[in-house]
Order: sequence, then structure tokens, then C-alpha cells
Amino acid sequence: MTSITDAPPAVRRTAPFGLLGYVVLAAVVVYYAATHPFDGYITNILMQAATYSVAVMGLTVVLGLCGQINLAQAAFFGLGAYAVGLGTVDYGLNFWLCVGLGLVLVVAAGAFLGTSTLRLGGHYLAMVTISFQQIVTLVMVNWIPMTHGPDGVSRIPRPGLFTSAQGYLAFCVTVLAVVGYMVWRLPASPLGRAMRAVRDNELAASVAGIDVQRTKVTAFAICASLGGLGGALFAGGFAYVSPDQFSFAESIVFLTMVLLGGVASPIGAVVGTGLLILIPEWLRFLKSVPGLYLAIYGLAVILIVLFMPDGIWGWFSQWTRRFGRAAVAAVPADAAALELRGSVGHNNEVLRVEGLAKHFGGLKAVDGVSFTVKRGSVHALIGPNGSGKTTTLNVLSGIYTPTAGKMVLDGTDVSNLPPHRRTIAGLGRTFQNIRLFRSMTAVENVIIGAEHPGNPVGKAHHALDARARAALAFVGLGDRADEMVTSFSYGHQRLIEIARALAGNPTLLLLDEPAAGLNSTEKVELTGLLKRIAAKGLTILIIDHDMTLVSDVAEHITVLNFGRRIADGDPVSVLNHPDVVTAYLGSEPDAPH
Amino acid sequence: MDLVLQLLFTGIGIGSVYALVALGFVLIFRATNVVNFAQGEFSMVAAFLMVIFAVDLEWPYWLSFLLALAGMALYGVIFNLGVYYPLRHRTYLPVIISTIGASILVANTMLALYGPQPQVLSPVFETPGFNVGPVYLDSQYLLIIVVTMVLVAFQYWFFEHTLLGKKLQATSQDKEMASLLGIPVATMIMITFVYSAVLGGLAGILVAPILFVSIQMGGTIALKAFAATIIGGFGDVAGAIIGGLALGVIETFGAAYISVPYKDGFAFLVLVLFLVFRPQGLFGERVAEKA
Amino acid sequence: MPLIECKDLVVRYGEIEALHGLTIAVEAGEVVTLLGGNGAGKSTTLRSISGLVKPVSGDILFEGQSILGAGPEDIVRRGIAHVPEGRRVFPGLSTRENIMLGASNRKGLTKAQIRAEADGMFDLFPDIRPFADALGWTLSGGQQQMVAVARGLMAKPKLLLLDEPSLGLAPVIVQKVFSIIAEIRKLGTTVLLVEQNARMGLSVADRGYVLETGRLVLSGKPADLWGNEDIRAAYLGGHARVKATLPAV
Repeated sequence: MTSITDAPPAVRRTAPFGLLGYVVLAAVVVYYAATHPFDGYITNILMQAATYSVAVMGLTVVLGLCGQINLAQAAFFGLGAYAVGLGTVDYGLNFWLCVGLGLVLVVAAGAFLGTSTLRLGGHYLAMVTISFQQIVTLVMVNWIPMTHGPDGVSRIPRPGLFTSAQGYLAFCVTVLAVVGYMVWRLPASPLGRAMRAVRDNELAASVAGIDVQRTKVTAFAICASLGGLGGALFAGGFAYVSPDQFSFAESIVFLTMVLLGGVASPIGAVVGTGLLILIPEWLRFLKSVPGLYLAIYGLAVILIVLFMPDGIWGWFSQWTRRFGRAAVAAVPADAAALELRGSVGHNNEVLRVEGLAKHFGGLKAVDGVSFTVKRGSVHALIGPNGSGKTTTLNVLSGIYTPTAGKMVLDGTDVSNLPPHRRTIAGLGRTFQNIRLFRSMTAVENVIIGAEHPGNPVGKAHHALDARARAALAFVGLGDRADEMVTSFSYGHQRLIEIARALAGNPTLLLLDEPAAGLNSTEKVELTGLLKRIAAKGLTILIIDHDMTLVSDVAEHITVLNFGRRIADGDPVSVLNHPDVVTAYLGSEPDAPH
Repeated sequence: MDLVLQLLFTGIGIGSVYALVALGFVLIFRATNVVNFAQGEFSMVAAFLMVIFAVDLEWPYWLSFLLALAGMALYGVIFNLGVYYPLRHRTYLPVIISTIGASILVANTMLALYGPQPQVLSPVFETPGFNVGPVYLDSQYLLIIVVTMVLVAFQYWFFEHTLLGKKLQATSQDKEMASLLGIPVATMIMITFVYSAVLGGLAGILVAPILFVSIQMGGTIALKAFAATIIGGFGDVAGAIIGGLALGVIETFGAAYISVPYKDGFAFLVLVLFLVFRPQGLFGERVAEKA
Repeated sequence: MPLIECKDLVVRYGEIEALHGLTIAVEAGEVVTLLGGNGAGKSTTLRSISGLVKPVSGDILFEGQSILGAGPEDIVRRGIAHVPEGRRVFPGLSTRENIMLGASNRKGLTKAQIRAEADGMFDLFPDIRPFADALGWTLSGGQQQMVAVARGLMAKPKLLLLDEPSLGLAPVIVQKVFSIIAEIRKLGTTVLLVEQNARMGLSVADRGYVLETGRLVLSGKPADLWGNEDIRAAYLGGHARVKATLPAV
């Protein structure tokens, strides 16, 4: 087992302005907030905008980055605010301690909600967060001994350092600047990449070694904690909290803010929040008619979704990108040679499948299949349509749980592991219908494949980047690493998928119909690639319909039919096996009539 | 025992309302793969239309009823054209958000027009009810149960035994393929929205004399209808009906034996329990997992 | 006058141009195969004809009339049925219901008539008769392909577009599907067939077109196309082990 050779770290992408620029800009804004003589009304508006922006950035993370919805951000905001309000006023606790307690509370609540529903997907989550929002409001109003009911909590103190309104405002802006920086940098971090992968394609993310459920729950907890933090700051700023400030309607206001500004960037969050706090101030007269004000919010939500799907900032940055495109130039590095896990191992068996069965109701898709994949071999699994090949592959990679049977990968029983744990244990796979992360570049896709604890390449970004580029170079796409995957042809997308699997340093590579949809030239290239992979000693299990390809590359063939193994052995004997000929090839493959 | 029977009757009555709204939920979900978060407002708008026609304008009840349903059909058309149809090629998230926007818009427009004061709509029958043995049958509840049973039977016949029903199903399963066969997809979706709006409206009109007519009624009903669909297994028509009835019964018994103020909490509790322990609902997934 | 004629068809998906001015024609009664690798524009051609994608320029004439800009529902009513790649059988409807819906483009039929016609289809597709009441998702790939073709024929099309009927099917099933195409040909239906399996595609065709990256590169009789060693190697997936003989049509 070898890891990749060290490649010189190369800085690929320079942000429009880096950390230094951000710090300078933030310092100027904070200084301005701390020193400019605002009148009380303006201070209040700015304070509201700053605290709301923190909460709205939570939605940037969960909605923009991870693609999950949260319709209870006002509830989390309220929990943070009540933690500070009740903690300082009723229990005389220290302000900072209360902020901490509030954060613990919202993260626990967020994690609980997330854990119970996130695996079920969007609609459930939307409805459950609405329910949670309603329950929180119900409790705030009705649990009078604890919450003071509809009267709310007043005279909430500010922390000792920032008792003046202006000082507190400067503090809030500082917090906003720090949160903004973290949210801005998050997409390029391993966690942020995992979130984007989950948003783009959950199944592919799990097979690339990402714990999808944990990533979503983390995103949700981050969102909740930013909501709670914003609420805690809000309580200190306004000295008064009551249930109506944290109702479902306010959750919609938060959502409108992030949508209006744009979900893709923290700047969008600030823009949207600022606008939706200022505009209603200008339209104060609307508040005299109950409902009118919120009706306009509802209408605004529909109009934004219809006509400005990327929000104001998204629209703006698209417009600027159109003019600034020439700046991005790919730097083709001399990629290091790709090292793969060779044929050295504890024993001769990379995979042992025993009595594997998968039944869907009465349908026995796989019915007691056993076979062994030898180390360093190319093993093909073939069979007529509906014979259970793809089901077998899906059970092997953990997408389906088997009805019965056992799978041992390189000495480890992986039968009960989820997909990402199998990847960590040494499995890599591709999909019949290509599953790439479509909002990312080729190299980002492959980095995600490299980035899992089972890969000896480590966690350092330059090592992962070098590994990914080496993998892309290996499949022949090294010079196009920084292009978006959507700009590649179908055949090349397949190669990127193979590179993604290779980058993870698998012990066993599963290929699900890699030749499907390729033209003859591409098939020849694919055959060559598979032979080069095999030459490096990596074990391959391949499913395909293309007999030319299978008989070209495979050293061992297992044939399935009706969910059972009907033949197993070397290509010549298997392809001449009478059962195989009748079941799979037909008697005379030439004449259709 | 008498109390149990009485509660069972009431529970099935209120559960029928949930079932009707849940049915509308499921139909739109199957046709568009979108959960309509403004489903509850269908009921609310219809109830307000009844208040306008029958109470404010003092028109005859049956005329008001027909006009209200016609109004709901029109509302379904507008809703589809304004909220769903322009977004049909986008992912589910923008559509969810758009329906939430619609829900807020409609509820608050009603608030702006009518103020926060709940409105009262009198029951259909003059006779409030009668006794059958130990059980008192409230005539409005009885009406709700009968109407629901008729509608469920109609719907079964419609989807299983008419070509139009099959075309609607085909549209909900694969729109592009449906259009290649000459099925007018846009019309099919429109029919779904209109039918769903009328169904929700009917539920709102039927339940209005029992609850107050208020802008909150939509949200409450929608959440319970959603809980009902979870209980029944998401996207399953029969499941939605049984889920709705079950929820009505659970809620009624919960209110009687446990706590009245937290009556509305039972729906959420059941919702969360199902999500955690049996997310596929009572009847499981119809279509098995297929890659 | 050809039954269908595509003139200088240009199709774009976003920034990628899928067809760069394609011109082809199919006469009534012919079976024509479109060959070529992935990304050659074969499926795009069919999708343009059936109205699923809108060409940026060029024209499509059906029976001498332009159908450019018409929607898929309108086009199938004029007599063009498209059996798309991947079969697209409605998973929640039974085999018979799937086939019955194939007649959705024809006006004035009663449900009983449609049902009788659908049951008549089982004579052409005896393999799926036992599964008449089975739901679509329970069928195997080959059975689904037969349902899809039967459903296409229910439209009583003047022109049948078949997109990759062999995709994902085991060879023995592919042969069955192609023997059905040969049957359809005998019934006199005009067929425009897209196929990657060049040998199979040419074996049932009167003529073939070879596309490469959105352009027409070759056309001719099956024997001429198949007989040309270079062409086979370059476009038709020719391989040393594949027999060079083309079965008689």
C-alpha cells in the first residue's frame, strides 16, 4: 500500500479579495458603527439588521449550501433570545453564559429535528419545521410561569463591556463580520464541499464516502446555532422579547430575506436582510391594516421565486462574472503519477460474497448468490436483463440492505455498513447513469472522492488536490481539471466518475455498466483504461452488457440469471457453457429473423 | 362504552375533514411531485366565500354553496397559473417556497379584508341532531361523514375505471411520456388543481359551522392533513383517507381523556412518532425501492 | 414527397450545439436507421421531430407541412409516435393500461374499443400477454420494451420513432425486439430507428444514416455501409471478432 508522492502545492484559485481585504473592510465597518453618531432610530434599525443577518446566514448554509429547508428559523432565533432574556432577568445569570446556554439549546433542538427527519427529505423537513415553529410559539405563549406568556420579558440587560447602544451595535457588527467570514469560506472547506455534494447528488455523495445524514444534520445545527446566536444578540439589543416576535410569520420573513438577497453567498443574506428591514420602515403606514404587510411579504416570496431565482446578489454576481471571466485561467500542473492499491494484502480474496439475497416483496431479485473476487483480478458479473446484476451491485455498495447473506471485503465483514462506511473500508464505485456533482468542477468532484478517512493520502488540501489531479490525468483529463463537469461530454463524464472512484484509493473498484452509452472509440479508450487500472494491480468487479468489452478485459466471469448464479469461471469456459449460451447469448446472435 | 361510541362518531366526523384535505394534498403531490403548503387555505378561502355569500349577502344556502365551489374551481385555476405552473420545470424547493408564499398571501389578504374577528357560519340543517340509542348524532358531522364517503367512492371509480383517471395517473408518473402519447399534460395538471381546490373547499365549508371561520383555520387543517398523509404513507390515496380518519379519532379521544388545551398537539405528536418510527406510513411504500 | 424531412436542423442545449444543420428524409413505407456514437445527435433528432426540443433553425416537414414549433401532444395527433429511449413505461399502471393510453392521440374512440385494440396487440407481443394486469414497474426490461412499442403502435402512427430499443437488454431479448420491428415493417408502418447496435439496426433497415457529433457523415444502403471496413471501424463499433456478414433482409 502506497500513498501518492508529494506534488508541489499549487494555489489554484485566488478569491476576489482575500482574508486581509476582508479584515480591513470589516474593521472599517465596525469602526464606523462604533464611532459614527447615529440617532437612536437608526441605531435600532442597524442593530436589527445585524442580528437578523446572523440568523439569515444560517439559512445561507442550510438552504444555499446543503439544499435543505428550514421554516423554523424564527423559533431558533426566539429560543436564543429567550435564553438570554429569561436567564439574565429571571435567574440573574451572566449574559455570556446565557448566550452559551441558548446555543446549546438550539443546537440540541436543531440536531434532534434534523436527526429525526432529514433522512426523509425536503417535504417532510418543511412540514416538521413548521410544526416545531408552532410548538415553540405555543409554549412561549402558554407556559406562563416559565416564559411570562404573551407579556414577554423586558429589561434585558446588555453585557458589561457594551452597555451603550452604539457599543453594542459595534459588537453585533463584529460578530456579523466573523460569522460572515466563516460562511463565506465554508464552501471551500471539507465540510462545505460535503454539503454541496449532498445538495447535488445524495447517492453519489454517500458512495464517495460522505456521511450524508451527518452532513445534513451538521448543516441544520449550524443554521439553528446561527439563528440562536442572532436571537441572543437581538435580546440584548432591544431589551425586550415577546412571542409575537418569533412567530411563523417571522420565519417566513427570514426565508424571504435569504431568497431576496440570494442563497449562494453571505453577502446575499446581508443584502436581503438590509432591504427587508429598510423597506417596511419606509412603508410603515401599511402596518395600520392588519395582514396587508404580511400579504405583501407572501406576494414578494412568490415573485422572487418566479423572477429572481438567484436573488439580488446572485443576479449581480452573474452580471459581473460575465465581464470578469477572462481572469480565471487553469494552471495545468505536471500531475504526479497515480498510485493505486496493488495486489499486496492479507490474503488472496478481496471480496467474498456468501448466500447474498435481496427480495422486494415477492420478487427475488437476488436469491442466494455466492462468488469470490480474487486480488488483482478483473472479474465480470454478467447476465440477462433482470437477472439481478445491478441489484447485487447496489447491495454490495450498501444502497440496499440485503435480505440475507454476507459480504467480506478484504477480511472485513461489511454486510451491515452504510455506503460511506464501505467506501472508507475500501470500496469504490461508478454508476450506470452518471452521478456527478453538477455544480462543481471536475477536480472538485474528484477531491470529494479522495476525501475520506480510509484514504492514506490524508486530509491536507494540497495532497487531496494533487491526488485528484493525478487521478484525472490518469484517465486522460488532466488538462481540463478546472472545468465544470457539465461542460464535459457524456463519455468524459464517465471518466471523471471513474477518476473520482480511483482517487479514493479503493481496494476494490465496482463499475456499473461503464460502456453503456459510449461510442466505439470511447469503448476502445475505456478498454485501454481498464487494462491500465488492472496493470496497477487494482481489483475490478465490472458489470456490463458489452460482450466485447467483458471478454476483452475480464479474467473471471460470474453469470447470473433469475437472481441465481448459473456459471462461474474463466471467460472461455463460461461463455461456452450451454446454460449461459441459451440464457444470455441466444443461440445465434446474428440474425434477428 | 356510550362515551366511546360518541367520541368515535365525532372523531370520524372531524377525521373526514382531514381526509378530504389530505386527499387534495396527495392528488397534487402525485400530479406535480410537490407538496402544496397552501392546501389549507383552499378550505379557508371556501369558508370565507360561504360567509360572504350566505351571511353577508344573505343568499340562499345552496346557491352560496354552489357559488363557493365554483369560486374554488376558479381559485384552483388561478393558483395553478400563478403559483405552480411557471415553476414546473424547477426543483421541488422553489415550488414549496412559492406555495408557502401563496399561503401567507392569501391568509393575510383575508385578514386585511375581514379583520382578525372569527366569522360564524350556521349549520346546513335546522335540526341540530338526533339520538340513535345512546349516541347523539350531530347532523353536521353526519353530513360530513356521508359527503366524504360519497367522494371517496367517486374518486375510486374515477381513477380506476375511467380513461381520464388513467391519463391523470400517467401524467403524475411521467409527464414527458404522457405528452408524447398525446395526453394534454397542462390540462391534466389544471384538472388536478381544480379538483383539489374544490375538495379542500368542500372540507372548509363542511367544517366551518363546527370551527370558527378564521384565517388560522387553513394552517391548522393543513398541518393535520399532512400528518394524516404521513400516517397513511405519503402519496397513497387510500392511506390519506385512513390516516385522516385515524387522526380525527386519536385527537378526539386524546382531548376527552388526556387534555383539551393540547388537543392540537396530538397531531404533531403522531406526526413525529411516525416520522421517527415508521416513516413509510401504515401501509408502506406502494412502489418498491428501485434504482 | 418524403413522409418526413428534416432540413438544416440546428439544435442547442444551452451552450452546446447538438445538431449542426442536419438534413435527412424518410419516404413512406421505409425503415431508416440513424447510427452513430453517443453525442452524435441521434436522440436529439427524434426529440426534435416529436416536439420535445425546439430547434433554433431549420425546418421539419411532415407530409409536406412544417411541424416546427408544434408541441408533442399536437405532433402525435398528426401521426408521429415516439417510443423514447429507456422505454418509459408508466410504473404505476398495468401493462394493458399502458398500452391503452397509447391511443390518447386518437379522437372518438370508446374505452371498450381501445381496450379491445389493446388486447389485440398481444397477438403481436405474445410474451407480455400473461402480464396484462401486472404493474409497469414489475416488468423486466425486455417486457417493458415490448409494452413501449405496443403503446407506440396504438397511436396508429404514419411514422414510428424508435429510440434505442436494444439499450440495456441482453442479446437474446434484443433479437426478439428486432424481430418485432421486422413485423412492424411488414405491416407497412414507416419507421425511423435510432440504434447503437449497428448490425441489428441495419439488419432491419432499407437505408441508414450515420451521424457524428451533430452532422451527417454518411448515408446509404445497409450492405454498403456495413461492407465498408473503414466505416465499420470508425462508426459502427466494428471489431475483429464481429462477423462481417450482414443478414439478408
